[in-house]
Amino acid sequence: MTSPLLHTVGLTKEYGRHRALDQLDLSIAPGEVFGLLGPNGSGKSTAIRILLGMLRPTAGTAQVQGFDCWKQSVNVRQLVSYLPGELRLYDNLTGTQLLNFLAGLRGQPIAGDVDKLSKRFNIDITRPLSQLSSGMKRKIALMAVILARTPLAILDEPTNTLDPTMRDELLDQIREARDRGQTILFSSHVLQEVEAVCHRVGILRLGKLVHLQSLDDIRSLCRVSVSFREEPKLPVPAQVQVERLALNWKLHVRGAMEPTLAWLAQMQVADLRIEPEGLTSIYQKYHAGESEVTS
Amino acid sequence: MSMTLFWKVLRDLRWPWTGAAFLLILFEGFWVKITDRVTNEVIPGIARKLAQTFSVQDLLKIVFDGSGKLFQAVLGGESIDVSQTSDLLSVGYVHPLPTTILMIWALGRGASAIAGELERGTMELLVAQPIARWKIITSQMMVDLVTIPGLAMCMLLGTWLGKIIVPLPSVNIAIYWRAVLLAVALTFSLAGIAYAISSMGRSRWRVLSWTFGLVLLMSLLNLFGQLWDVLGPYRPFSIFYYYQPQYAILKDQWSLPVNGVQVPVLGVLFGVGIAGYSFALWRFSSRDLPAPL
Repeated sequence: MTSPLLHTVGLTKEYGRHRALDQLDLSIAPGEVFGLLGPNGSGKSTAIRILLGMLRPTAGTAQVQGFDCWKQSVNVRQLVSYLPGELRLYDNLTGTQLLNFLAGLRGQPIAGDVDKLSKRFNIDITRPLSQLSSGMKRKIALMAVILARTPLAILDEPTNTLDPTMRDELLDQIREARDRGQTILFSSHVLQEVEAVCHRVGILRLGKLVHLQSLDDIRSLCRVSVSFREEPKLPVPAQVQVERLALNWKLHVRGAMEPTLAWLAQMQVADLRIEPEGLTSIYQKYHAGESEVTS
Repeated sequence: MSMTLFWKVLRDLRWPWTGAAFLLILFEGFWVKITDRVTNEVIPGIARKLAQTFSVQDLLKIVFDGSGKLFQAVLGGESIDVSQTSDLLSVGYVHPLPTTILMIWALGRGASAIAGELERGTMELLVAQPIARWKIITSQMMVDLVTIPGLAMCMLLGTWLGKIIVPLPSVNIAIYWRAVLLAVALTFSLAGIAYAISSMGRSRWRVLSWTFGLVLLMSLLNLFGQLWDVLGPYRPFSIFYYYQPQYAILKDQWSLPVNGVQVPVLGVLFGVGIAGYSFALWRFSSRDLPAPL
């Protein structure tokens, strides 16, 4: 097994009596795209800020490629590029100047595919940032992240303020980065996007990691909502979890559907609906009623 | 330090610096003209008219008596003879206008270098790059080491240009570099204080308020300490006490008494500055950097 690129053990951050992050244990393998989900205040940004060495953890450790995120934060940031959720740039610079400035701070010359990327993003990087919309600024910041070509990219709600075309382009970029072997930590409120690109997801609630699952695993789950005319007499097949309310049952099926369909065929079924389990229902288990997430 | 950040900050400051430099040159140039007019025309004219009744010194005693003492303190105290060209020209280096320009520069720089970047959210962009936090502070400090002496030199440039236009034969302008050195030291110490407070904050205006309040308090302590004997012993607690360019220009004096001991003024001013920058370096390197406001 390959050693994880990013590894946290018991990572905790307290602000006075408030615990913003609570015992986060997380490992992300090289080349993995990991989606971190949770509403505002769930600890996503705190976790990301600790990883970038902006916050000192109250307890626990966070490491990127073996470098401690607080004590060796410069080494860590050499390996990480970051797109902040709330983007603030130097508005007195042009796009080109900003890209050169950030590349200069990295000590790396800017890669040659700037023009290609700016055409693909449909943006004029010679214009001052003060004249650009927030979506265009985000494109430029995204270009800086892509051009840095670091082993780990941390994207905090990257599709904020992007139009649908650009959102698709961003997801394509993430797929390309994934194919190049880059690791991506991706936080988002848009579950559809996370489902589209991530290998694994973690759901945070009140600073705690409450759910961790691979997308392949989630995709293999189906939810069958069924109303029976009479109580089923045969036992349900293996690999099926049941939630029952009188004659209305919810079956959570993992893997092949055939045994479940064969079982249902023997029952007196009044109504039947089969749908993929999806991330939304899992997310809603923990954050039902919190409206900021888009499925 | 990071040369990339150094050049970027320098570039950002080019217009404010040019504005401040222009004002300093303009003021010092005009001050030469004012000095010439006061010492070569106004005072000799009054002296001629009053020759039979009393002397110019008697007149100045009347002017600087009572509430006039406040004005005298602003001009540099009792040791300054405003009827002398060199003495009055040196007032141009303690006048509230150039010292206020230098103070605004120092406080503005300190407040915007750390708290300002945090407030704007651009600090997040900087610290997300592989650059050590101490390098961010030292890059800003290096910018100050270029811009502050540059501004102080502009004061001398103004005096020099003024003297070309209005010749003052009795003045040796070469000795005015001493005032430049003290102006650098004062601005550096003010910037150090501002950096120290800025390193603990995240709002530029709040840092400016605190720093300005502190500096105003020290300024008033130094001023009123000259007027009221009861406040005199507390003047050394004000850094403005150590900024007396007239002593340096006219008497080549670089130390002042504090509790009977002669204290080197440059040592105190640069010491305060270094302490402020060092504190900022330590505090900024070890603190949590919260999300932008």
